[in-house]
Amino acid sequence: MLNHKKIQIKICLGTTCHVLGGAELQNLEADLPENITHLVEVRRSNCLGLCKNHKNMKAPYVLVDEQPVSEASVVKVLDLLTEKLLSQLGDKDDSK
Amino acid sequence: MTSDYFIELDYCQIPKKNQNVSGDVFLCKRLDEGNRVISVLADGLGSGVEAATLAKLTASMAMQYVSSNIDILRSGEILMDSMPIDRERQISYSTFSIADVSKKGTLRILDHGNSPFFVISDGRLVEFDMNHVQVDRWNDRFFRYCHKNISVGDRVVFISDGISLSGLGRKGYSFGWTEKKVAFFILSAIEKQTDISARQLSQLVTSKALQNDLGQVEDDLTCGVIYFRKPRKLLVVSGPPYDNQKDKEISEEILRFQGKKIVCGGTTSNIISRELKREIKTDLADFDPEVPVHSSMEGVDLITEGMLTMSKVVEFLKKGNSSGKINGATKFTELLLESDSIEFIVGTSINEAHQDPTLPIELDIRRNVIKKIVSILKTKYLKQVNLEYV
Repeated sequence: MLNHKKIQIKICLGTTCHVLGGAELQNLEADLPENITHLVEVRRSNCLGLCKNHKNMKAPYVLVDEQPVSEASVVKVLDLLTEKLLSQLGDKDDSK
Repeated sequence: MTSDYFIELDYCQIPKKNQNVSGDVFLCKRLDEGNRVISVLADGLGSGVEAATLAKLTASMAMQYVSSNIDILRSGEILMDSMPIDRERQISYSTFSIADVSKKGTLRILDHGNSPFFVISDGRLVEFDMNHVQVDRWNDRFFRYCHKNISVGDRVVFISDGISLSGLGRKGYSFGWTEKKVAFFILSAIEKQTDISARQLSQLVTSKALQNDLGQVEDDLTCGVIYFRKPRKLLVVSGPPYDNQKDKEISEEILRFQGKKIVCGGTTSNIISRELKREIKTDLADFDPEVPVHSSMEGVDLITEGMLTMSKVVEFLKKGNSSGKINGATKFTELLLESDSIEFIVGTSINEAHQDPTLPIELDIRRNVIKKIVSILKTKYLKQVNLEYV
């Protein structure tokens, strides 16, 4: 069993993110595979301010353990989430 | 002090079945910086567009004369002489009831042909005499008028005869709902909720009349309510200040303000959260794909996203209803409509991300949207509104 903290996912609810497809991300929990839901905590956040500061990246934004996902979609978020979970598994193997 | 009081005025209307337009017209006007409110209910002969036109003509004339401070008796005479009448039947094409209320606590009423109105004070109906005026040139037509003093907490309720006659012919409604039962209904509503707003009460009375008619309105339904009350205050803070040195000042205003509070905008709410050291909690229960999810914070009644929500609020205020959904925009609209005195503190810092030409929709700047909201609140809903830029 992994002893890591839950992976934090923050979905930006700001105007630009909503207009550029963020509304579809608001039900992200429903798209998470059942076997990993206990490893993840999904929260909504007021405007994360990323649209102002990231000139080369585009909304909508999601943070996965504070790592921004730009032009976020359910697929992109799940890809990064999988990467982080595998990385946690790797840490567990190393520690044995 | 008169500035501590407010004259809340609202009305509800449902046209006769199969008619697009109500033959009743309700006009209201706020004068003398809100210290005086005049309302006119006119019921046109017949129904539909023709009745509405006759009623509108009468109501507009009535509003004009009474607003110009002509003595009430003289106003009545001029109206009776100049309003259109059916030459054959020698009856007016429209009835009218006028109420002129001032914050000094005076009420003037002028009435020709409408159903009786009700004056309610301290949970009871107030009985009073009306002066009856009739002259030969009007044949059998006459008008009534009175002057009265009123106190804070008093209400005046106007109804059209469609309300008092609703249900006519149904079992238990041989003579319709009747004025007596309408009065009893109003008093019961006030007893259950002593601070029931003019808006809620007018909607309640009209809904009950609609029920009496089993949803098939037999005659236009209109109920207008004037409520002399202490104002319900609302503060709306939206937009980061142009000078971020003012972040603390606007946050302190939220703490100081006595009334309800809305914070509108993600960046704005982050500023308030930081300054007041209070967490923002988001509730997904009312998820709506059209309007971003709203949030809450201790000491604030509603936190919403900014531009998309406010654009929807403009739409709802123009239409006069908010779609029946529950989301940040409908909650915002409801708070506005259930307030009397609304203070807007608007930060003028522009969000450059909203000006991106590649965005799929055009986002107006905050000042413009809020100016639209303020204008509608003042002109259509007769709210007392103050707007401050920071």
